[in-house]
Amino acid sequence: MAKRVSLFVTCMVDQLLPQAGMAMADVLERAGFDVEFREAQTCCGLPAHQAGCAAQAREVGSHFLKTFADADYIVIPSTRCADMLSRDLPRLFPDDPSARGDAQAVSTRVWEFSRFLLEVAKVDSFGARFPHRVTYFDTCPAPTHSGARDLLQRVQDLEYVEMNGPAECCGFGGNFRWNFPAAADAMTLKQVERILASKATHVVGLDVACLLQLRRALEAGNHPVQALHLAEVLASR
Amino acid sequence: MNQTTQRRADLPELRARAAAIRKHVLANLDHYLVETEKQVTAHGGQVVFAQNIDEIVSFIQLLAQERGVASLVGSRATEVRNEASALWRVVEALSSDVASYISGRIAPPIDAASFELQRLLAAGIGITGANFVIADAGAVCLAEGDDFASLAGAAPQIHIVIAGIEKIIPRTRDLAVFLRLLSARYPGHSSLLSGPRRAAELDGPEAFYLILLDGGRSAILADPEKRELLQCIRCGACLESCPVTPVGQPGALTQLLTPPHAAAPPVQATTLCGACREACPVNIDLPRALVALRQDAFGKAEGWTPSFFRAWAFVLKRPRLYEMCALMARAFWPIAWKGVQPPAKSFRQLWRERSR
Repeated sequence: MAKRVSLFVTCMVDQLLPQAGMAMADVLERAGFDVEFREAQTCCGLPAHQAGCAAQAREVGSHFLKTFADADYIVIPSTRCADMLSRDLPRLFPDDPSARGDAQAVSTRVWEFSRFLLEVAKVDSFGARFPHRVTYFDTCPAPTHSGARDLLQRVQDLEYVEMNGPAECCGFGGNFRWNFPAAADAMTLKQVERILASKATHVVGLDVACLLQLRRALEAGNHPVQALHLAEVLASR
Repeated sequence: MNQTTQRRADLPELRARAAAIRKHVLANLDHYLVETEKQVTAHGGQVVFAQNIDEIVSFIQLLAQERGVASLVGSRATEVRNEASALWRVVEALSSDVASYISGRIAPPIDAASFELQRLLAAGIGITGANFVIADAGAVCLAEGDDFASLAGAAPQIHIVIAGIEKIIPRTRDLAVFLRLLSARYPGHSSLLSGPRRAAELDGPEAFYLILLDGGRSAILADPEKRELLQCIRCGACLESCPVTPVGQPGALTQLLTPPHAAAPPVQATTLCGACREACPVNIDLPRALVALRQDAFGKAEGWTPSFFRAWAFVLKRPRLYEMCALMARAFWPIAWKGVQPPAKSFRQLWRERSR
């Protein structure tokens, strides 16, 4: 019997990059999983948590826990939301052992998309073909997700190039982008320069927030480089 | 991966060891404080416990008075205040020892030639900050950059060493771990000092004081979200890794270096990307601590932000309401994202069509 995976597409993919969520579903089905989408899902609570607003992060986090209480594998097209759910959510219930227990139990079933493919699905090939020059943008937290490179290198006809220079944050950082627009833009431009120097036609990342931040800067500079989610590349034929 | 990152990645066992030692000390700080006092006293030195920097300043002034340093206790009230505040800044810098490595990045450098230190030195009183206090040896370790070298070499008659209570490490051999982590970043030299000069020794001070400063640290120790911060060995690796600092913002990390870690405005200047967590040689979860500081700040926040998040959570707990609001919010996306158009359909719309 095929294993069941439950998509948590995150509010950002739902609203801003739905094709990444659809691609993720395709790739998981091709890897032999039964894919479900629970309509009750909304957000992981990260925006409130990052703003220091623990009470509302807890409320929205609890809604997530209720929605996915009986899911076996919860697969997420975002590094930061996955990080929020596995690392931060259990800590938001210091005085409520029962809720903390639930959060801890669910946190072990939360998987960022690329890590799910590498550590659970363990499929060698997704039948993907992508005849372009591609580089990988280290999505924060960087070392945790560096395995995405391996997945890209398994794609047929894909020419993988590594960027030079130190991998750093794209400059998004939730409310950072709104509070410090000049600093955020300077950080984004630094990364755009690395991308351009690699002469890649496509830059691949694991988080929609980074991808939109990069895409906006690439478009503003009229650079014909596409910013894609890993799932979009793995779903191409 | 740049050279520094690579060098750090070579040291995972060392980092785990360092973190374990720091955690052990903090969990047993009461024991190690007693042990430190016992050993320092056994070596002929004296331990002074200070609640805050004011107490240290008073102590030094009193000592200076006894040694007849007239200018430190000027006759006019304003002079006394100016002296005290100048001395306060020196003591603050020394007690956090950030000055020795990362000065200029977060605080004006305090150099050994500073007026206050020179005047004290002329009267035979030398003040230094310690990087580590070694419990089993009753000794202090000064891992010096260039700025304090001259002071240590001046061999004052009275040597006062200031250290936060968290600077204790259990054994001399633990230095093998910590000095390696420090020197991986800042090649320098270090001195081990314990007690005043013994009968057969050629040099050393006549009196040795170790001032252990609480300064809010015991309160941090009681806070599970911030406790880890006291593991910090002030190497500056986090500051160096932070992508926010080079683009001209004083990054939020500066709030984490010196107790009592007040939540001042720069705490918002972080993307919480986690580069500092990777860089930290004693494995402190710095983004978590930054969020804890933001929680402190949020507790005092006024204006529209708390109301916004209450409304936000109200909507996000109700999937249908969320879908409706998101539909309406689409009109604002091009404004918020400066020109990025939202897609024609949301994921859930596409999924419903696919499942049909």
